[in-house]
This record gives sequence, structure tokens and C-alpha cells, in this order.
Amino acid sequence: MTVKAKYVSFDRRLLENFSWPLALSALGLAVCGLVNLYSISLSHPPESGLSEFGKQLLFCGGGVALCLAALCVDYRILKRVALPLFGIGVGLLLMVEFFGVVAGGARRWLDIASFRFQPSEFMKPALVILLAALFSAKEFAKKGLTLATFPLPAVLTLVPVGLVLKEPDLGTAGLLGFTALPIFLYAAWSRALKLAVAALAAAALSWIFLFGGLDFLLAKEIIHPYQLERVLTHSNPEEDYNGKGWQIIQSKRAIGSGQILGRGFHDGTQQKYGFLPAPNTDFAFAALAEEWGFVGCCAVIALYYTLLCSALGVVRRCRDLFGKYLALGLSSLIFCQMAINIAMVTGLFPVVGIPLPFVSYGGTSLLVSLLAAAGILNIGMRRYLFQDATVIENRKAWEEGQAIALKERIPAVRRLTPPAEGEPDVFPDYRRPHVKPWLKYVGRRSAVRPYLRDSPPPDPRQPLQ
Amino acid sequence: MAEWTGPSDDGKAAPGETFRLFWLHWTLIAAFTVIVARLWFLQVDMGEEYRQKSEVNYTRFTRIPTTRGLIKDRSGRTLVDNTVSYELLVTPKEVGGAEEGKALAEEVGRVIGRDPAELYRRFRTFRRQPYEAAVWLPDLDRADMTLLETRRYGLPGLSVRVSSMRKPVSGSFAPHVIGYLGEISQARLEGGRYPGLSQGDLIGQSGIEQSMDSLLRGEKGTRLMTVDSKGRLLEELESEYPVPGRNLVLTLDSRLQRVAQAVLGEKAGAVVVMDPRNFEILAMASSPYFDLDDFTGGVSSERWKSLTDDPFHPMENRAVSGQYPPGSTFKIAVSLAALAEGVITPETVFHCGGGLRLGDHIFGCWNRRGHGGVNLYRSLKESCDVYYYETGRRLGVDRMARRVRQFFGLGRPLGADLSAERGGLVPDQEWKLRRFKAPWNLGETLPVSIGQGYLLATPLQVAQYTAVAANGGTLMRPHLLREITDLEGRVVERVEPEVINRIDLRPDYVEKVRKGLEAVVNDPGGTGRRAAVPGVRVSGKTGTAQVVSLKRYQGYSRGGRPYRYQDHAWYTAYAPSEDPEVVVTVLLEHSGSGGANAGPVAGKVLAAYFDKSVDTTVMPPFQARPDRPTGWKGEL
Repeated sequence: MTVKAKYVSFDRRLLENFSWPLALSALGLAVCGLVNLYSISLSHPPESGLSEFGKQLLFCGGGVALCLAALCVDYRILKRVALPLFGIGVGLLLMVEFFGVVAGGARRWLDIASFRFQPSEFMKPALVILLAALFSAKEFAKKGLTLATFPLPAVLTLVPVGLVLKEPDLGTAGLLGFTALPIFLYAAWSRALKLAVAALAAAALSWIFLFGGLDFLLAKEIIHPYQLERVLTHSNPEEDYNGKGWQIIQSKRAIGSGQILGRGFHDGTQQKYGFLPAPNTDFAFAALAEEWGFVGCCAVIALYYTLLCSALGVVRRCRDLFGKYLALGLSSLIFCQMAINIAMVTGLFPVVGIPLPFVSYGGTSLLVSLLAAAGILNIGMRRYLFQDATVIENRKAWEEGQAIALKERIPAVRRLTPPAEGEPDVFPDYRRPHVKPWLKYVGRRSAVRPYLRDSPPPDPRQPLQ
Repeated sequence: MAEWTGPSDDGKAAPGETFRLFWLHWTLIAAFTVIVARLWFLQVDMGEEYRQKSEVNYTRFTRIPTTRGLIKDRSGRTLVDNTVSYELLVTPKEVGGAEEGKALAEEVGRVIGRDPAELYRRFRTFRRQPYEAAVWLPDLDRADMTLLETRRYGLPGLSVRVSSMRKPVSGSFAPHVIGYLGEISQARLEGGRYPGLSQGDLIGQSGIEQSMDSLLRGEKGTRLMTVDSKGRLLEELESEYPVPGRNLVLTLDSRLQRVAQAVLGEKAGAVVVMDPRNFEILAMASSPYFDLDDFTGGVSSERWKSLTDDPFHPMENRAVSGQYPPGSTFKIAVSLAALAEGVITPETVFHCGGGLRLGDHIFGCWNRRGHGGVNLYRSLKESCDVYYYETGRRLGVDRMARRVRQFFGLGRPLGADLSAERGGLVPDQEWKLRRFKAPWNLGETLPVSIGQGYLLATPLQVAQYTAVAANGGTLMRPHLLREITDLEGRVVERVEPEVINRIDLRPDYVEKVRKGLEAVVNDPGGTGRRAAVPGVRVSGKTGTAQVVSLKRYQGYSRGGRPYRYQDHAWYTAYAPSEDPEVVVTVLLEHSGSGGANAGPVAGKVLAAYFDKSVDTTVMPPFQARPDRPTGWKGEL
């Protein structure tokens, strides 16, 4: 497959393949975040200058503009810059190690020209791009993951994870690992690798929990006592009312007091009177839950579900292996952040500083989330580049075209390959993958619309009568 | 060889991909289900509970203190007042961090001489709500306050708040009647009879402060405020203003009270001064006594121990809770009961030969030579025991008990506004059976009829039957409370005399008893001549109550017996004899004969009642030891 590298171009089919549900749910989430932030900004007005809402609004506008620009660029350019990006990310993490600013007991930030920057944020997409590029390389694509190919991506993943863990930032390190997991799992594993990894995992776990490995890790300061304490505190927050448990207690009170319909816009007392810690960033979901209740939470979660299902649809339909892995990695990034953050604020997970994508206040976080969504959109839009069969998004237009071709004695486009499962021509449900994503899996046969059931699928090998 | 190598260029879906997407999607659904289930649990199942908890978070309920009512004497002079005390408040936010707090604690500790470590420990507990002024020290005195105020410039975050403290005008004035405050106990708080009170609140622990606590206390106000997480007060939601306590006007006459306490001196005993026309208690003294000032701001543990360990029980109000055999003073009650029952008439004469033989036991008269033929008049004047043995024998213990209970309110507390009041004991056959599981003997009736035996009465009860005799037969509820007024002094309630019983007896019979009592003081041969007051005709009755019936002490002279085996001296009197307006009852524990010892004391009180110029400011020492007097030279 050789495609001329013409990265910026416009084609009608770009819009035909644009996933509106994905774009709209991402924007909807950003709007939810802004509404929530507006309420929070009202109760915590800034001492001077623009409020957090104002800043976030600017970031949102800028981010959307940036996304529109990014949509015009072919995503495959990333395949070329994957390694340099990763290199920069690792370099920045190393700089943090040596020149980082210490805040709150951890060295996580870099001060660059009065702009405070957290390289681990940058590392997340860089790692995803690198892994996608690696797994779509010819060697991996042909053989899948074997004992020979597994170590390289594994080591490349563990390097940033280790560096972030050393900051120390247990949350982001875990997030990097969780994000990379689906990419690894999506690849094909050889049986030998499966056995080897299972054996290794069993050995590591038994060493940590049975043979004193935990004490060793603590002694060597690979794991800090406070990280362990945080995990332990999580299991029983009420016992530590004034310490770490405080945040989770207040967060649960905020969420719980929202009840079904919520306390109403700007009426959340936990948020308003400052009982909820970090209501704008890490605990934004708790503030939202307090003011909008179960109904509001479900709406936000439905938006996430729409977004992720659309993203999975893009993964499903993408014909480019790099695009597939990249879309998967970016959705995994959004999903992991969302799941960890919501699990954290609802007390299912220890408190780690991971913001809720699209909703939490923070320019970098919002920008990365929006660009990730734009990346998935980008991949979905450029699906046509890899099609060898005509994909009919507009059946009527296609039929008209066929009729004209017949009339004008233009030979019909012949398929090179027999129709396969998942072909829109064969199973027309797949032609509207963004509308009812669950239809693909639930009751597929019965859910086929009647007018489609009545007319048998055309055989593309035969020219139309 | 790998199972799957991704989509090939031919557009065919690879065999494993559908499977992977299937699991990816179901993982997604599972994750969202867990999240929604958790939200359902938090918001719908537990929503109500978390809503309440968050409301507890941001609302602060405070109680506004109220002022306790004042206690005044019958002429309106304040006996117990509220004075200012000072609370040291600290606002942690203004102090700064932990080190500044430590430095401040050390400085404050140095200036007013407290333990800096303890101060700092308390300070640390305030830091969760740094904007709220917390009470650092609740009991600053004026000197401490001045010391801190002058250094205030160098001590940021400190402030001094004025609060009120109970302060009796004089610590030695009627401590048993007035009483003191103490922190409410946990048991009482849980008992539910003290709504609105919380740990650390003060309630009356004795005297009027205790019995009238609900009137004096008032009601605290409440205030509901919203606060933020730092404890800054934001907005007032609702409040209820405090209701100040009622002021109480007692029936006590300050001057008489002082005199009564002074004349008791270092002797253990009690004096009750009562108005027989309305049973208002004009003075009620008990000795030894204690200093009320020890209790303002909390009694120290050494003081408390010394008071509770004192063998003479200075905290006991002997006038209402000391139960003694009333001795010969009981003859007033027996004679009226017997006349009412028709067992005797004033003209009935019994022969006293120095004793009454009952079986093989001779019950002796105090006068071993005998009084000869004795009628009612002489029996009272000379306090003939045989006359009352005979009367009691004819009356029977049950009839006697019923009549003295009915006529004089013996055997039960009548409710003289003090919860320490006790009922004494009027024995009868049923009581004996219940108490000793044994039938009553006639031999036990005879001592009871001269106020000995099982019979017990408090000095207040002795004053009651004296007053009944004085006013012609009307028993009322003795009381200490005269008026209840509000904060501005408007009378809310005036306590009216409450008649309990009127003796249905021929007035000339009562008059005969009164003549006999008059003769006790005024006739030659009367037993109580030392209580006479110049210019006023006084009636009275002496009493000498044996404490112990051991034969071995019967032959001893008074000085030869140990202190605790000596007789109680009683004297009860009223004056003027024609139109009585005051009853004085004196009890001196273990002091010998009533006429010789209690009589002069009663005389002094009566004299002071009629001569308004008599007063004293010199009070006997607190916690006196009556068995070895220190020679107190109090003057009247």
C-alpha cells in the first residue's frame, strides 16, 4: 500500500465520513464542563483578572479552532514524528528529574518562561502515538506480538512510566500503563508470549505479596510510604477524617447530596462553601453531581458513552493499522482518565490527581482532550483513503451513479474482493455506525430495518440490470 | 505464528478483530454500569443521608447564653448576682501557622502563669476552623485580663470576651438556702429533663439554686448560621432569642438571717425563724456552714474533699434535712392531738410520782421526785413526762401518728422550696411491722409521746407545730419563695400562703395550750425562762432530746459524756404571746439541756426580731468544729 503523502488536502468524502456523534458529544462535554465551571467561578471569584470560567472559555475556543485546523491535516504525519515526539517527552521527563519544580512534595513541573508545564501530560499522547506507529510497522503487522517483538514496546512503555513514578506521581504513571494496555491487547499475541507474560505476572505478584517484595520496594524508595498509605486510606476513609480521607468524605457528601435532581445550579453547598476540595479540577465531577444530581451525572456519562462508542466505531471501520491503533489509544486515553477520575471522586479508587477530560478546569487537559477527540475524528474521516471497494454512504446517489454508468455504458466498478462481514454493502447496519452503536452487537439480525430486510443485498460482482 | 495480523490490504476483517471489539465494547459497558450503579448508590440510596451530612457541614448551630435570674431577700436586696468573668478567645487564622501558635501559647502561658504545652494542645484543636474565634481559656480573672490586654499589641489573634459568672453577694450568707452551681452531670443530661442544656452548662446543685433551677435558668437562644469550610460565618438562617431567667424574691430577712447564723456560732445546729401567720421562713440557719465563694467558677478538688470529708457535714442544711428526736417540744403536738381526740381535757389531772410503771419497767420523769398532780397547763410549763406518758398511753400510737401528721405535717416534707427537705419519721404500728417485722409494744408508745423513741423531726417541722399552736391551729406550707419577678422587676407570681389543715378544736382548748407555753417562759418554775425578751411576752417550749439510751451514760454528768452522746438542745418559741408574729426554733446538736443552752439563743433571735437595730456583720468561721470550739468572739 503506497499512498502519496499529501498531508493537507480536502475531499468531499472527508465530510461524508465525519463522525458527528463523536464531535458533538465532545463539544457537549466541554459545554457541561464550562457550565459547571461557571457555577464554581461564581462562588470562588478571582482576586483579579479573568475568572477560571473565562480562561477555560478562551481555551475551549482556541482548542476548537486548533482541532478544526488539525482535522485538515492527515493524521499519518504523526507516524513520522512519533519517535521524535516520544524522544522530546522522555527528555522533558528527564529535565523534570533534574530541574523540576517541587510542589506538594513531588517534582512534577517545569517552569518555562513563567509558564508552568507538566511533561507527564505531554507524555500521554506521545506514548500512544509511538505505540501505534510501532505496532503498525511492517514487522509487527505481519507477526503480531511474539517473544521477539514484545520487549521493545514493553520497554518503551515502561521508560516513561518509570520516570513519572519517580517524580513521584503514582496516578499519572498508572494512567500511562492503563492507557497502553488496550493497544497491547488489541494486537495478536503468540501463545509463547501469553504463557511468558502470565508466568512473569504470577512471579511478580507472589514476590510482592508473599516474599517481602513490598518491604524491599519501600526500603529502596521505589514506592513511597505515602503512596501506600493513600491506597490503604482509600479502603477506609472514615477512619482518617482529618487527613486524606477528608477529601473523599467531602466528595461523597457532595455527590450524595445531589440526590436525583441535584441541588440546582449554583446551589451546591459543598462546592459553594469550600468543603469540596479542588471543585474546579480533580473533583469537578463531584461539584457537577451535587448541583445536577443523578440525572445530570447520567447525562454526562451518556455523552462519554456516545463519544467512546463512536470512537470504537472509528476503530472498527478504520482500514489503516496505524489509524486503528492510534484511534484505540486515544479513546483509551480519554476512557482511562474518565474512569479513574469518576472512580476516584465516588470513592472507588484512591485519590490521584487525574482530571476529568473535557470537564475539569485546566488548559492543557482540555486541549489534550479536544485534540485526542479531533485525532479520532481525523482517522475516521480519512477512512476512504484505504478503501478498495466503493463505500456507499449515500445509497441513493450511488444507485443513481450506477444507473448513469449503465446508461452511459461505463463499466461498473468491479470489486476486487468478495464482500466480507462488516462491509456496508453487505450489512447495511454498518453504514450508520454512529447512530446506534449498540446495534452492531445486540440483536443484530432483528434490528435490521425492514426495508433493508425486504431487499436482498446487491451482489457487487454482477453489474446492475 | 500469530493468530491475527491486523486488517490486510484486501479489506477482509481479520478473524480475531470482531472478538476484540466485542470485548472492548463490553468492557466499556461494564465500566459505565459500575459507575452508574455507584452513582445510584450514592445519590439515590444514600442521598438523604449524604444530604444531611452536607447540611451539617455548612450550617453551624450555636446557643446564645442567657442570664440567670437574681436571688433577692424579702426587702429586695440582691443576695446572688451575676458578675462578669472573662474568656480568652483566639482566632487561629490571625495567629498564623503552627510555630506562631506555639510562640503565642508560650507567651500567654508566661504572662498569666499557665502551662504553655496545654495551651498549645488546645490551640491545635482549633486549627481546622481557622476563622472561628474559639474559647482558649474560659476563666480569666480581672488581673489576667489586664495583663493580656496591655500586651495585646504583641499578641495577634487574641481577644477577650465578657461572660457572666454567678456571684453571691456574701459567701457566708445562708449558703445552705441559696446553694451553688455546678456542671450538669452526664446522667442528668441523658435523663432528658434538661432540654437545651449541653455538656459544661451550670445548673443549681443545692438550695434555692437547685430547687428553683428551671425558673432561674431561663432558656438559651439558638442561632443557625451558614459557614464555609474555614469556619467563616456567612449568613444567619434563623435564630431564637434567649429568654432570661426569672428573678426570685425570697422570704428571708437578711438581718435576721445574719443574726441567726451569728448566734449559732461554732455550735452545730439550726435556727428556723418563721412567720406563723403565713408560714414565710424569715431565716434559716444551719451550722457549721461553708463558703459559697468557693463555688464560684468551680470548686477546687481539695476544697470539695475537705467539705465532704468533714465529720460535721457543713454542706448539710440541718434546718430541713437534719432529723432529730424533737424531745419535749413534741409535747405541744401531743397535747393538741390528745385534746382533739378527746383523750384529755385541759382540766384532766394525772399524778406524776417521778415515773410510770409499765410492766416491770419504770418510765421516769425528768424530775425524779415527781410533779404530783399535773394538769395540761402545768404539764407544759414544767414539761412533765409522766403526764404525756399517760396521755400517749390513752391516745395510742396510731391515733397520735395520724393526728400529728394531719395537724402539723410531720412525717412528710411539706415542700418548703428546698429539695433537701426531709420528712422526719412518725412511727405507728404499721411502720414498725414494715420496718422491723415486729408488732408494736406499748412500751414504745411512751417515749414517742415525749418526743423520743423512733420519732424524728426536722427543726422546720418543730417550727411548724409551734406555728400551728401560735396561730390557733392552721397548718400552712412553709415557704422560702415570696415572689417571682421578671428581668425588669415586674411581679410574675406572688406566692400566697397555702393552707393545708385547720384543727377542728374548741378555741378555748387551744388557748389553754398557748397559756401553758406562755408559762414556760414567764412563770416562775417554767423551764424556758432564759428565752424571755424584755418588753415582749414570749411563749416557748424547751426540749432535751436524748441521743443514746445506754444505761452506762445515764449517771454521767453532761461534761463527762463524749460529744456525740450528749443530748440535743431544743427550744421553740413564738412571740408576742397574744398575737404571734414570729416563731423561732433552735436546735443545738449535743449541747445538753434545751432551756439552758438553746433558750438563750432563741431569746437573742427574738430580741433581734423586735429590735430592728440589732444586726451583725461578724460571721462565725466556716466549717467550725463544734466538738472543740475555737472560742469565736462574735458579737451581737
